[in-house]
Amino acid sequence: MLARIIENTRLLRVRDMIEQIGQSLSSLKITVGALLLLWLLTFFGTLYQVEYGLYAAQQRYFYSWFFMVFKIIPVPGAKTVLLVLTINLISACVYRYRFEPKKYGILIIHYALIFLLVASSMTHYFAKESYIAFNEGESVGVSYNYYDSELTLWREAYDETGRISRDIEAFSAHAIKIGDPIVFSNYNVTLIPEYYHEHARPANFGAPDVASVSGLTALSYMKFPLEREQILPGGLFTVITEFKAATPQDVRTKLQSNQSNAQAQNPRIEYDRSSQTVRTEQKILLWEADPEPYVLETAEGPLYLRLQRKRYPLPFIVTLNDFIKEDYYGTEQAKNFESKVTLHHDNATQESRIYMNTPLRIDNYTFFQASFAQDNQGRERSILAVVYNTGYWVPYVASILLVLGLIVHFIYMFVARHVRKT
Amino acid sequence: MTSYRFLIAILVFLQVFLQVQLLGQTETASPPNPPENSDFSYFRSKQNGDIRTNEPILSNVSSRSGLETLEVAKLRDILIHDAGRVKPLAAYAKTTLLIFNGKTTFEANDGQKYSALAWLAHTLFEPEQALDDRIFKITFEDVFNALGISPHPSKRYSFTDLVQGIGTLQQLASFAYQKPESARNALDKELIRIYEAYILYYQLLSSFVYALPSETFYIPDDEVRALLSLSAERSNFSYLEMMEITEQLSAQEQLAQAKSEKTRTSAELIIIELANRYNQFPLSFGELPFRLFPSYSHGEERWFTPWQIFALNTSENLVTKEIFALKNIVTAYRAGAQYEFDNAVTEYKTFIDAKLVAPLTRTKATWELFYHSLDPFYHASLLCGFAFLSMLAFFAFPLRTSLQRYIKIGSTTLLLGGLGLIVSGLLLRVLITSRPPITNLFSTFTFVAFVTSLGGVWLEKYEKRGLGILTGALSAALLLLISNYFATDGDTLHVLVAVLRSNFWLSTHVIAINLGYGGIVLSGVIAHVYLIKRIYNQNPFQTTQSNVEKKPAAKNTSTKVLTTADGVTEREGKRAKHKNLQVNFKLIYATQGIGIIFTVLGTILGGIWADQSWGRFWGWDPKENGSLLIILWSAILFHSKFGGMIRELGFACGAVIGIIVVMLAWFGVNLLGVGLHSYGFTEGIAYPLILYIVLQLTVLFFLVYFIKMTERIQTLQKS
Repeated sequence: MLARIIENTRLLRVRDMIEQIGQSLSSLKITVGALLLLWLLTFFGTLYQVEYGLYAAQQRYFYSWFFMVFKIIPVPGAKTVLLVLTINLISACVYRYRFEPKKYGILIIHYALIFLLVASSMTHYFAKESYIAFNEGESVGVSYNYYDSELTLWREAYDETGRISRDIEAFSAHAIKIGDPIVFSNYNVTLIPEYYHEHARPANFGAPDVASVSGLTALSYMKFPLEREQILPGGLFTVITEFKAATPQDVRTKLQSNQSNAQAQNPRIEYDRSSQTVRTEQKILLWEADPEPYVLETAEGPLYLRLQRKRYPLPFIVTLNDFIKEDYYGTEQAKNFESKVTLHHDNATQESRIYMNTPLRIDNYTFFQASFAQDNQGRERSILAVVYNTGYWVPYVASILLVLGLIVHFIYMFVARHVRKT
Repeated sequence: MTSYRFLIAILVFLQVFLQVQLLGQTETASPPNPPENSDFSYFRSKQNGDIRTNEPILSNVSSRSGLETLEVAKLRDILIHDAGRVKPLAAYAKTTLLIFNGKTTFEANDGQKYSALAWLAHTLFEPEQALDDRIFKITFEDVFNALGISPHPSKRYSFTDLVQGIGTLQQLASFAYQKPESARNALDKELIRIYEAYILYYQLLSSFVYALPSETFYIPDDEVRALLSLSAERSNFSYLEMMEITEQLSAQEQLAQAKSEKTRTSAELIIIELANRYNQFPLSFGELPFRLFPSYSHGEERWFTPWQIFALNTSENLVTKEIFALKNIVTAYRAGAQYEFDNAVTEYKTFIDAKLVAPLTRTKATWELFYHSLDPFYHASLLCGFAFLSMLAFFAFPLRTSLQRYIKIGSTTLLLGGLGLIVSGLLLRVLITSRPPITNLFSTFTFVAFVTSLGGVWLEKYEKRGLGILTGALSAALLLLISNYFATDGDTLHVLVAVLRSNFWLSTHVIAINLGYGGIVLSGVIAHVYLIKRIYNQNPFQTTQSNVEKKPAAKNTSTKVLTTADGVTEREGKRAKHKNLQVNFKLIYATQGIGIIFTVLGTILGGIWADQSWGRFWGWDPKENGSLLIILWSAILFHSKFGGMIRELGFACGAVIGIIVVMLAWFGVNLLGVGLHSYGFTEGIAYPLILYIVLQLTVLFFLVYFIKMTERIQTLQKS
């Protein structure tokens, strides 16, 4: 009996406590505080873009839990604030909202907001943004990440149909550590990073024995890339290749082709008689802005080495048939940009037009006309943004809910006014 | 000597041709090349030469220039294709004159004022006289110092002035071009502006050169003139005159060419050279700004300049009669013959109208002319300004009841008139552009002015205290004044940037956002009135019975109180005032609510549009952040009011600050120069904006300070 009472009171207390916590979590003071903080974050995050660009602002203010102001004061980022707001909203829904007809519209708006916050945070984690850039007539089967890079090494071979096949071995640039050897085991190539910058720009104090595609000898660190196009990592690597050779004479014939490679400096060659292996060592500067891959001569033929944006395989091959930039007649002002593409998809092909305000949506992939470029020879290059998003409908549903709430509230306001009058 | 001049002339034309090709690509870093700077004998010679006597005799020949003697109003609805659309010549003249002069009227060197159209006709048809018109507005001392021009009090300089320093100007401008757009300072922009204006002016001067007797076709030799059956009385001929004798010329040229070089007579040599010049002449003027002739081909309407027509060089020239009609206009203008001029213009217009294919071109041009002559937004700002002033008198001075009623009716009429003008302006814009009313920053202001004045009238319908009229008129007048500031780039009806070309999104997202702006601005303006009223209502020295009797209307605006003033006790008077304040506050609250509802709606629609065209719903772009700032601010106000953290005074202050937030989001973010909404970038409004913010905050501070002070005095008196 007694035990039961104690049990009951304890339960009651726990329930009380939860209720109390819920009540305090749903406090309007938290709402207002968080909204104010978000206001300030948005304001300063916008100003920050002027100097440091959108990407840096996003990372610092909006996609962070916390960041430092003046290097010492920690300030919650938008993620934290939005999380607090979401918790606040949910507990308000549970503990504070009363269901009166007067509030229906407002309630729908707030539920829609919870949905929007939760769902869009999930989308934020799962959506993959990438791009493809190709000239007219070119086909691609991969899209590229906007920010992340990777070191790639491959050898080119021609299959029976005459198409080039590439067996690419890749190493994520995130994992690059100075002095830590990067081993491409398929090709027996080791890269030792001497230095590596996530945003690099050309510098002019390099050593003469450095080889590179662009003729650069050194790269320096760029503190704030303004645009994501400026995020061009690069670094200096000691590249070591090893292969078997029976005699020193054999080494020379095997490396003969090196003479034809204009971009290469002469590598240091060591021959170990006991194991009959040749070890070449050279310093190569790799920069993402390099126009073409570095050709590494080995005994088995050329290898291609490149630092490039991280690739995502697409489930289809996209061919750019035509790119059209349409101007307003008689002016140089652009009227429309359009890419005519063909999608090769499981033996089926599909012709599509991608133009302003009209993307192509297929299998959770969406292709947008993002930009275009023209090279010196006048060839047009189309840049498509590719978004892979299983939840692209989320904001639409949330929006419909929100608008519904707005409409309900609006109608109520008018009805109430009318009722009050009559 | 002649051949030397001729060579230079050819060089000049080639230069122009090249430079115009380059001018098209203003996006590139390299500046357009200037016309040959050393020699302007081309225009000059005609000024000094015997051009008047050379021209055909017409009735009414005047020795004065066409600018002074002729009425050119008939030209106004000539159609030209400019900046991607067809527009009437009067509209083109206005926007073009603005580029040079910064004004829409032209002041000749003798101080006489002329319309933009008269100026354009003068520049096109009398290029030799237009050389000395002081038309280039240069305010930067550094610029005219660098160009070696002596400063003039009017701050306007002629083409001839500029020519002296054109080498320097080109150099300076090319440095400015080389800088990335964000790094250019005011001087750089001014240099580029002047340089481009210079080139445009040159093009205008050359536009009708084909109809004028020219040094290029200087034929002093009687024998040659006889061979080509040209008039024996003159030695300079126009390109058109050569075109008329093109068959003779080519026949004679063939004869001459058939001979061996040694046996050719001097006349034959001249003819060969003339034929050469004749063929070269139109090639030099490929891309002049005047696209006058419509032609329908390949499924779309294209417009050509006379020079393009010449360059096409087709044997069956389809627009010969139009070109000759144009020439008649030029000749009549130069001769100062009004009757012939009017006839030629009418004839030309009938020819062109017969060629129009695209529907409504002529109708739209008529609408546009009407839009320009109505100048709806300017006049609306005047009407709204007067409405505001008279309402201010209504509130500020103790007036008799009957007078008050008249004033109120008068201001309501004025505001309604203003509203009517704004609506007609917006409608005309819709009709002319076939787009929703908001297509650029300028039109956002006119639209929001529409929203606030409509909101004012709507409030007045419900509350009947004059408050709606006052605030609606004030905000509309101010917004229209601001819109004027954004119209200075001339044409406000121009074509849309690529990403905006969607009538659906323009008429949903953009309209909703601007409705939101309107609601919140109106709320802030009403909040001002509320704060002022609060000071007044709490003023202990004026709440006594006698004061209520003396000037009741001045504070309360409530005619009810006024009429029953004799019988009111002090308490009743206070209660009425309190109720009045309550109503006022409810208006702030309601308009703020409407504002946030539409801003949320607009932002969501914007998100969907962004998802459709850029691939993401939200990306923390400055403009997106701007609308988020408004929503958050408004949400903060509502939630802190619910939570009892602020009261009516706080909410009103928040609503006032709301205007600042709207201004930041509206065009403050455009100052940043970053982001995807790059079609609205503006400069030069930073200082006014900062000044406004500082002023607004100061006003707010003093209002609150006075309210607090009167409150304290009240409590002291009570105790």
